[in-house]
Amino acid sequence: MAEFYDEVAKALGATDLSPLRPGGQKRVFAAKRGSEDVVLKAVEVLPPRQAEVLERASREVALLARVSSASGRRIVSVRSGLATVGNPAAPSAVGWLEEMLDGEDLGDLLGTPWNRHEALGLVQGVTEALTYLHDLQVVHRDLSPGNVRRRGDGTWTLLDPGLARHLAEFSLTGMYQPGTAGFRSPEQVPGGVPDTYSDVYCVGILAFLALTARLPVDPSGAEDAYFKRLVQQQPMPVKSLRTDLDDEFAAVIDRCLNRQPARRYLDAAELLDALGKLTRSAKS
Amino acid sequence: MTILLHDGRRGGHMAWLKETITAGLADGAILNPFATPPTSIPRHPSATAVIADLRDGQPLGSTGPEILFDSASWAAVLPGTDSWQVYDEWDLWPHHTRGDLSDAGAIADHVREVFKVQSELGAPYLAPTVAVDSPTGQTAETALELAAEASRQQRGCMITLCGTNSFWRGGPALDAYIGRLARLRASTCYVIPLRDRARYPADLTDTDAIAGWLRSIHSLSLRSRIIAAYTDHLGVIAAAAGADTVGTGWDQGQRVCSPDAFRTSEPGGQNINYSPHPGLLARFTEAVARGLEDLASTFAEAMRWGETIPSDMREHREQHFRALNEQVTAVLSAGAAPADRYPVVRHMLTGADLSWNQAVALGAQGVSSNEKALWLDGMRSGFEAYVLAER
Repeated sequence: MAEFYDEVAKALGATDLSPLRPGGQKRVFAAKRGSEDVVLKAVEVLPPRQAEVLERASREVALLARVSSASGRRIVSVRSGLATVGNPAAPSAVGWLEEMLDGEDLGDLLGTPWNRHEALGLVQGVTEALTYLHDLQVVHRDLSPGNVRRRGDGTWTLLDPGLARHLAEFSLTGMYQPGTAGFRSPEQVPGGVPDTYSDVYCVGILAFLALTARLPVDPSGAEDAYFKRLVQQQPMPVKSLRTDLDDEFAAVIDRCLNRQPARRYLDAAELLDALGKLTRSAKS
Repeated sequence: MTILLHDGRRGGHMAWLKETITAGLADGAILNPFATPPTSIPRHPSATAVIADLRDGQPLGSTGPEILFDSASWAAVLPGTDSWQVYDEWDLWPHHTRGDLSDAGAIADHVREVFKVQSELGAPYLAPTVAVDSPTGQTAETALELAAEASRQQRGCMITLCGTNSFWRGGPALDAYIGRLARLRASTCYVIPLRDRARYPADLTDTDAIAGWLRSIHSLSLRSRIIAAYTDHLGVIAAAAGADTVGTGWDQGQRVCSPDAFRTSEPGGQNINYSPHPGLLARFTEAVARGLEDLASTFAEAMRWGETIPSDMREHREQHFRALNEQVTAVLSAGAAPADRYPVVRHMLTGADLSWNQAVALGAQGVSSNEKALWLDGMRSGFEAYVLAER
């Protein structure tokens, strides 16, 4: 009997599947469509959350289709529409194709502290990508190293906005919050309301981690204790671990990581503006 | 520094407004529909007439006094509000559905009606709100939706935030809520601390609430001008946190915001003819001021910054606004960043503390450690708690 992802691949004309990530409800494969290298994402639609899974997959594909071409390779591009397996009204699986990115995941590049130039490049690249989402009032909500990739030419590209939230469509608070431990914002706790400034906080986490090889808020231990630390604890200034860092760049990172959202940059555009000033003052 | 005078129901109120603004002791007025009618009635000219009068005689090219119209929807939906005599003359709710904010359509309609009135009056767009007692829950969401809807209808409009002590002591949940408000990028935030009672001075025993109020002003001031409404002598610490405008007046109801002011049973608006003692960051009744004067006239005069004890209501008003203006201006002049202003406020508070100790030791009637606690200690504790958290 064919696996659900084989059926999805067939519907999309994809062949030569090779797993990229461990299995589960959502499977990711390197694949071929004709001569083109692509990534196949296949999601099994299982009860009791069929409607949610379908909605999330549809939203991810629609969002990628909307922003990827405009973003100038900063957000991974989609190479197909959403394919369904079985009854289109109640499919057993769905899937789509994305471009195959060269380069490396950010997670593979972390470990030892980066220099300022490298870290600034990361912050700049991720922030530029986020502006395309924030302009649409969309919050990524899972800016973890596995969802950020440095391409061969040095371009930083965002992946997997499957958990992205359109602010206008979801105004109520929720007890379930997506995200990855260590890479959550204070708003990504049960009952919180993530907004564009939550992504800004997460950019701060990535910068802090790149520069210090440490997370600003320790996610270890019980989840409740981690959530409490997130909302109550102001991360230590990045300069306390990187005394060689210039005050201006350190201030930008610290502001991203402010526990109070009103005191952060409110969205990627504000952060990008601050980074622009940083670059201009360095040149002058 | 800007002082704005809150509205009131006192007969002759409008003449005092004009007189105070013309004398340069205040910079404008904040009218509200509970106090000023849409059409003139005996002793209470219409809002249009008041605004025309206040703007009359301004030099050509001058912007004139700042005049706001606070729809006071936060008061209209408070339990116990029943002072509808003037309020119901206004068309602030469509189809006579006063207080209906039950869904997005009702919220949008109310905002539209409020903006229509403000537009007709030539006043800037100031969003309506509801009073919130917690940063989470349905009321908080309604307040946020009112502000968001107002910002959709008039981008960059002023927004209103009205919170009780329990709201301001909301900790991280308060900070999260303030973040959501900040996202609206309002030009101005009109911030109201709603007290339980109309007592003057306001009850300042809740240190966490004062600190939360100041922290919120600080956060919002990073992008918006802050009008610290119904703040009066607390303008000193509000300015330290980032406010540039203080709301006050001559009656209790203008200096302290509480539900009492909107209840016919408890008008809560009396003028008590306080004699300003800025050296103590306090105001005393005439009897207390005279008692202190009798015991130590030089000291008492120094505490009044050289002023005489006011002999009439005009002197009361003038001295009060002059002292408030000077103190808040001193704070604002210390620098643009709140941190630059803390030392000035701390110096004032420490100086007042020493002077209070001296005053209490004199044994004057009405100048005891109890009064010191009411006027100074609460303000000082709240300010220090706020500053400590900013480190």
